Amino acid sequence: MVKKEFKIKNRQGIHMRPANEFASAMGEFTCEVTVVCGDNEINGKSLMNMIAAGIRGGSTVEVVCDGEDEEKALEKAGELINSGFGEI
Amino acid sequence: MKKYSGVPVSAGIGMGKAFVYKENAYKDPGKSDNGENEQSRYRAAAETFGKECILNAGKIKESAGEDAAKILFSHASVVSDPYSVSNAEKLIGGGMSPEEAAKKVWGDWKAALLDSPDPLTKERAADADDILKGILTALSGQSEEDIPDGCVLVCREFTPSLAAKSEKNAAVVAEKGSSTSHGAILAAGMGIPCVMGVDIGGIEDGDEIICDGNTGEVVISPGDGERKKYEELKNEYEKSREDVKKYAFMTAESGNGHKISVMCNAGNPADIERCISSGGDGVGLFRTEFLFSEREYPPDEDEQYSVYRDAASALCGRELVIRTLDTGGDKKIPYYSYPREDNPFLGLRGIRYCIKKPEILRIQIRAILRAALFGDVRIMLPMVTAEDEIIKVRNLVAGCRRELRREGVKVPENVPVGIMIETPAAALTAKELSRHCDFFSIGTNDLTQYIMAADRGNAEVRELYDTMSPAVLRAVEMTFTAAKEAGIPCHVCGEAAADEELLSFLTELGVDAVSVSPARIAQTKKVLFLKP
Repeated sequence: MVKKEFKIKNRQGIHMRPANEFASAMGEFTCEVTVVCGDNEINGKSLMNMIAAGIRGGSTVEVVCDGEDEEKALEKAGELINSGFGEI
Repeated sequence: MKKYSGVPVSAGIGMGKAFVYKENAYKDPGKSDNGENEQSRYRAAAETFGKECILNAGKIKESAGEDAAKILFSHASVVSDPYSVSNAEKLIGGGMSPEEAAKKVWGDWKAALLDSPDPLTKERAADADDILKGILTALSGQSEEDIPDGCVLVCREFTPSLAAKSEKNAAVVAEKGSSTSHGAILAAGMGIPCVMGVDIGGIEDGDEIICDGNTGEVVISPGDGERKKYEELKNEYEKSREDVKKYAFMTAESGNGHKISVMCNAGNPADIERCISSGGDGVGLFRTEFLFSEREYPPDEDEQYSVYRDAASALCGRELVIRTLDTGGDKKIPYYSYPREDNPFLGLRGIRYCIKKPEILRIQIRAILRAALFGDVRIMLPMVTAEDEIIKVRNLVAGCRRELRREGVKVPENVPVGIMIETPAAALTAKELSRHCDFFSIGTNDLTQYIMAADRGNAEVRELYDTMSPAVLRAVEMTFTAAKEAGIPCHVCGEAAADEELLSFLTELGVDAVSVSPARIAQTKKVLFLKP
């Protein structure tokens, strides 16, 4: 299992478009992807769960990947979040 | 014979027998005793609905286009999302019936979407109701009734799922919805005449019904004379429709070669798209209330900026007149506070409200100034009554420009600031006001209401509410005279601007631009062309 903390950089947080981008990218990996935000454990492969969690810009999340391709998945997750999903 | 009057959202006239769409009465079995079985019942229902959506998306793509189909594809993807399925199963495992669980899961989903600061995400909230209805129908094991060809569909809400079955309807009459709802966009895309906001309680299956999507009139069990009148109107409309289309992308001129822009009124980003595809010469009124409503906190500068910027760049240099927040009166925003007023329509509304709360206006003006780099952007103030109001806002605009420059943000040299002429005071003192304005735009709806002291929605005084009455026309004339003397353009926005009689009056006054709903652009241009 690997994990890392990230800060959500785009101001509007995880709304429809970023959530879709993140969930579809994570869907490519076989490992489990969990996004921890406060007390909330979110399935990183679920568009709905990502949106329903209402992750705001500026908040800190921890991405936890567990499974065969966990390293690659965490790397991709970081890339997406740090790019601000093209919104910064 | 009964007559109703609703909101016309898709042009054309349709007549036929009413088909009243009944929403299923769901039997709620209450507490579930067979958890596992009930969970698979939910899964099966979600799957059935998802498949149906994909099937319908294929159908609707032909008739209503890619965007309409996308709505149904996204329905299919969220019903199969592991989050919605596992949440429903968890609730059912805890003893809920699948019906109750569906209501909870999709109700929560709607709330989550509404909570998003992103306007596009928020817009999707309406879809949650459609999905819930679809799953409940699938759970009830009933298949949706087929809608007979050529009928006038009468429904509570015209949803994307209903639209997929409505290709051969003569018309649609709906109780809920407005010109910006998904249903309205679908009906217009499919070219089906549609009127919304009609109380459908008194309409029975098989009633003969006429739906006039041009005026919003709905006639039940018409007499022979009435039927004949509408048949003629329908033929005339259908003949002219093909004829009208060729005018959409032409430039209108009045007899002496004076160019008249036919722009459109927009209430959200989708309307901007519609304006462009219907041949609009610009957006003469971009209402900004949609950015503020249905949420729990106001949009920040960046959010507003991105919406204005996208609109300006989509219009490729065509004019974009952004009206600053018009709140108060009957338009209240949940997270702002309002005084108690005995007569809100004569109270703190429009620019009066924003002058009292300059911080709201400051953020909006900064966002507009930044977006102005991307096109021909103008600022318009609603409900102005006195010179002092314009001076205050102008000072605020100048302050915002200095602030932005100090921060190193690029802002164009000159962003025109104009006002709506919609109070008698503004029309009467147009000469004085013109000294502080770069343009005028006459808002016919409120101007008529305030000049005639008659509420548009009050049936008792409807006869008084007449834009063509001498008092209103004189106010319009005074405004034009003042604008001409000051050398500033004068526009007219409001649905009345599409009226043939008023248009001919306006061209005589030398109107520079009118702004109407996207559906009326081609017709308005045609009238301007054929004017002697």
